[in-house]
Amino acid sequence: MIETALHLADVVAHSGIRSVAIVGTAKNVGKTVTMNYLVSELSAKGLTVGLVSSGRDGEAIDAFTGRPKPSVVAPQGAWVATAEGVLGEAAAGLEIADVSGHQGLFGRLVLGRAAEPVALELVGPRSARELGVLVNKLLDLGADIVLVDGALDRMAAASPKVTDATILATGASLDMDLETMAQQLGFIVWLLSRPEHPVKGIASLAKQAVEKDRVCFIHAGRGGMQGRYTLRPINYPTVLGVEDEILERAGDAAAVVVPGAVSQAFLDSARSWAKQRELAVIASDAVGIFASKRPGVSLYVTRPLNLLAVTVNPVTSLGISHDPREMVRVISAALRDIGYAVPVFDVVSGEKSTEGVSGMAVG
Amino acid sequence: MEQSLGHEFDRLEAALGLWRKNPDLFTEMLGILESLKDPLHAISLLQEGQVLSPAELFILANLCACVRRIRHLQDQTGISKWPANTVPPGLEPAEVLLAPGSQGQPRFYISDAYSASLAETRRLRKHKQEMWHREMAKQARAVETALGVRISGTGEMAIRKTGRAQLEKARLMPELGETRQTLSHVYFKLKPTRDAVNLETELNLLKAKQRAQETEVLRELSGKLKQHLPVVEAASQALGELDFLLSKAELARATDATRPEIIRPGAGDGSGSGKAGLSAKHRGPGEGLSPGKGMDSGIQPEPGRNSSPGPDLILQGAFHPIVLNEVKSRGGTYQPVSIELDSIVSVITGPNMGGKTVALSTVGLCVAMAQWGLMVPCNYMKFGLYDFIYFQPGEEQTPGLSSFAAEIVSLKQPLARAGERGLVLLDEVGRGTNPSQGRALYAALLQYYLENDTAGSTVIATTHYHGLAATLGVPHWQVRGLATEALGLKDSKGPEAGEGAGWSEGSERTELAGDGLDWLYRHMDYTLQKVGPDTPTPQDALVVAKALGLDAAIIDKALKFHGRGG
Amino acid sequence: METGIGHRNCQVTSGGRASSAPHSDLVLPYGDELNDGLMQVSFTLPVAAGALAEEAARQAMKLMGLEDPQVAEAAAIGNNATFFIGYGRLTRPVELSKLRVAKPMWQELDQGTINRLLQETLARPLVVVGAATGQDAHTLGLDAILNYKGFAGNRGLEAYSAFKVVNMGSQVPNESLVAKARELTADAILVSQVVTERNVHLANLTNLVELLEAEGLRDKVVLVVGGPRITHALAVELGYDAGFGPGTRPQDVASYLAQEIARRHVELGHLHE
Repeated sequence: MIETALHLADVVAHSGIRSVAIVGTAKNVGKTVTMNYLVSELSAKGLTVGLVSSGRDGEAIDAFTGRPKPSVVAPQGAWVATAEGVLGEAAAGLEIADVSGHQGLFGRLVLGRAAEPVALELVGPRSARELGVLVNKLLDLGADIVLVDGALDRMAAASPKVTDATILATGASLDMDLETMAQQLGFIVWLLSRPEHPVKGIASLAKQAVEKDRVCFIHAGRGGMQGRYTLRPINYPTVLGVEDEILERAGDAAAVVVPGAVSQAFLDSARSWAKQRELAVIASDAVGIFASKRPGVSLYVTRPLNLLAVTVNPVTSLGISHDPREMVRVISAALRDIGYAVPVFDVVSGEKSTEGVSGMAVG
Repeated sequence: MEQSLGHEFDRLEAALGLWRKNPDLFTEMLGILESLKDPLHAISLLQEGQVLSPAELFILANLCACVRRIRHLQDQTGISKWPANTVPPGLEPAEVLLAPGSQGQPRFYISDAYSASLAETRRLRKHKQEMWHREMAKQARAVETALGVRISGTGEMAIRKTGRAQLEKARLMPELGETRQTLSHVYFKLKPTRDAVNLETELNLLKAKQRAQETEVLRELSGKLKQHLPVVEAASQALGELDFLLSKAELARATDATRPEIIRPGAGDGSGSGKAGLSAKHRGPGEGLSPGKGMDSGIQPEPGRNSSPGPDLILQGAFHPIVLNEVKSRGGTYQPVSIELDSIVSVITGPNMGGKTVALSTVGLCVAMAQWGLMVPCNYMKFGLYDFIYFQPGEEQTPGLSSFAAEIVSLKQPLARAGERGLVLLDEVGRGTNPSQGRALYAALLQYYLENDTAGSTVIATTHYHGLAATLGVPHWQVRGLATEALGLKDSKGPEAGEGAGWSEGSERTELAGDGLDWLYRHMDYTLQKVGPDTPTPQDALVVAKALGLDAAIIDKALKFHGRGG
Repeated sequence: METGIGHRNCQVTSGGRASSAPHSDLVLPYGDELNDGLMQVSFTLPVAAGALAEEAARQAMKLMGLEDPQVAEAAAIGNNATFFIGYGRLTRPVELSKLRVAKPMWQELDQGTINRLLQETLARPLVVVGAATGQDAHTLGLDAILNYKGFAGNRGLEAYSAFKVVNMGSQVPNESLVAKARELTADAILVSQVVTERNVHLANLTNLVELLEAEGLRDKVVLVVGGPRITHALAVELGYDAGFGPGTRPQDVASYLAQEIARRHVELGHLHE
């Protein structure tokens, strides 16, 4: 029974996206394994991949645990971006097309095409904004699809400002107990799947609001320019440390739009406020939400992110492992239970669950 | 000095002229210059005779391409129309070295064209690699067929422990090595065949050989490039000059700036003597702003300039670009500064928040820009070069000194430069001390300049002391201040309370919630007007205080104290 | 265009030619004589003390790649585990020239130079906000870097005229640190944290990075982390600009900050041209 059915690489290749972030729920959940799998499978499909890291990847030794880590090999023709200071002799294998910006500690960022298969350490730029610029540069240079390897549990690369789509890597490292892990993952998937506000007028005003770099309220029935809704910016650039102050200014607002971080403290305050009067919280995108639990208040974003798939790593860094098939099954079921039919894959064992996932048929 | 500054403005005007004729070409040029990577480090490595890295070589290839494209564009307008120092010499020979056979986007790769032996090594290595892959693929297919399990993209094969027969079979296969197992699965990796192992050894040797040959190419290439060093440096320098010139032109266009008319100090006659002012007048290379440059005694302007025929410094419609941006960003309208100064000392008065300090800094900025060879953000400017500009630092705090002490210590700087022509901008000197003594001190300071300055300095002093100008007999300018309808303190609706008071139901305000500042910005007339004997004195301090939200009871008391209207 | 300082503040050093083994590229553990490969290991196995446990221990050492494994000491821990000290010989040498250690480089500057460089760059003091974040109650490291008194005779950042230091102390929530940095328009944030392998510490450090990203401040600050297990490599992986480990003196941090700020200033100027 040779596996020929749809797998993660097919999902990515057929989705039409130009860039994908591989982010992890924790350390050692198999981000780089997933990336290497995609590099090899997408290249085999004839796609030119672009490779970049949002932190540091492919180094021989884990900077933290001192254990060996999987290295990154760029196949011939792939586009890569990494810092000069970690490039070393790999530079001779690259056709260099740009030297730009500054990573900081490790020198300038070098962009090039692998003239032969090149083993690399990837070091990326220091901020998500610069990462977005770099992704676009690699696409301009000729990459068909850019793979962004996230670092640790950092989510910033998943922002729609940076990449088109996201693959969420998770594993036993998040929690050894399968049920607990599935529950935690369910919350993260819920968070990353936050949609736009269902009311069009509010959703479109919210998009304008996040450009203002000010916290804004949206009110209904005030006969403003945008249909039935009006935007009211207030003089606060952030909610951090002034959560209650801001909500005291809510009036009869239907929604509050936060351009920066939405903290748990703000969500707590919003929830008690919403007990008196319905108030939705709208964040710029899901990576700007710092909730540790379901907030008990309507939570939306102005730019939803496209969660393509979840990958699982049944093995922890200590070598303890779950049964991959069982793990895929439990996680997939847990996600379906909360209404998110996201395909789940273990790229090493080949186990997968695409049950109930619509649009998976290959044309 | 006036002459070389004049030349700089000529060059800038020439660039602006070319720009007007062919804006697209300029946009393209700026784009090319933006894509330029700093070549200075690569150049210094060449000078030291070091081997350049591929990244540094790319930077040089990029420089060559930029030079080629810039020269092409300069050719289109006629290369002779460009200031000589902004035309880079061609770098074709270096470019050929760096990118054999490429004329497109700059790239650098140690291509096979550099070395036949390197090409051969690479060919062989690639060939052996393919053989290795074929060998392993054959092995993989055999295993996959035999076991019916797919080897994943990560090169591993997982077999379930429940499939006992399959597992036994896998364990017996010499092609597979067991790597690890979990509760449910055993993981295998494909072992290389004997041929593959031999190929791996060969490949390692070939890789080392290839790296050595590549390093050799880099060494040779760096040596050859060193021979082109002088022309590479000259080109880099010229692109720098061009970048500077175009940036200045762009700034001038963006701020709609004007070429200042430069006159000889003290010789201003208001009839376009600018050209005459360019007659060789030695001032040394110290430029207007560098300290310690004495003025040539032979060209000191005549004393008693109060009676000189025309203004020394004329600014019409001048604006401060940073303040302008700030005003625009809050949606306000900006009122430009116009002023004509014909006395050693002039006094500006006006309400708090009335833009006195902005007026001062606008004058300082315009003069500084003009002396730096930048077009000036105004409609018209006429002035003579200064040896220094002093801007009394206002509210700045120096540790260990009171603001008054800091002010006095700072004031010693311009005073120590008597004999030099200074633009001395003073912002409410003495505000931090006893008002009557403060005023006396300010008057004395200005009187001192009137009596002692022989270099033709220009001193502009802002103050709240209204009689100061009259006491000294110098020109007095004032900020118009709050529009008259806003002055009805008691009847006026006045500024709304700020956002701090919360948002009241029923209000339709959708703009950025401001505070009293918004109201002030809207009603303040920042225009400077020259004060004659009959000009009324505005009293807006109390309105400003009210606008900023001071308790109304206090304002009422203040009105009584001031005896307004009675 | 870039200035000289910090132009190449990084180089990759190949080990080996440095101090420890000048005459050989291949090194082995030093037991009784040079490169004899002899080494001692200790570990615990979940096996009751006895012959089986000792054999298991020898097997474990073989799996480590040790030849001639010997159990020097075996001590029972409870009923079902044994603690071992063993000796063995490593035969495969470490090849120093194959190692690549990315080492960030900047010039060490003295206090006067740092003050001057920052004064020229910013024309105002550099605002540094420091905190031991999350649950971390250790402020020793942070205080040593920031406080006037400094550390080992090396004065802290407060002693520099070019720094305006705000030390928020310990157990500071990331949200408060970010709010403070925004309020003061901080140029640099210094975080001190005792990182253990438990994810909670790492997660707290990455959480700060994510908060700064969300608030649009990440590009506007130099973000530095310090602590006993911090390295530059780990810091970069965490999303920080630099990481300082044990033995760091205030002057190291001050030198880095001054040069990084100067470099960014030039870069920014270039961008805005």
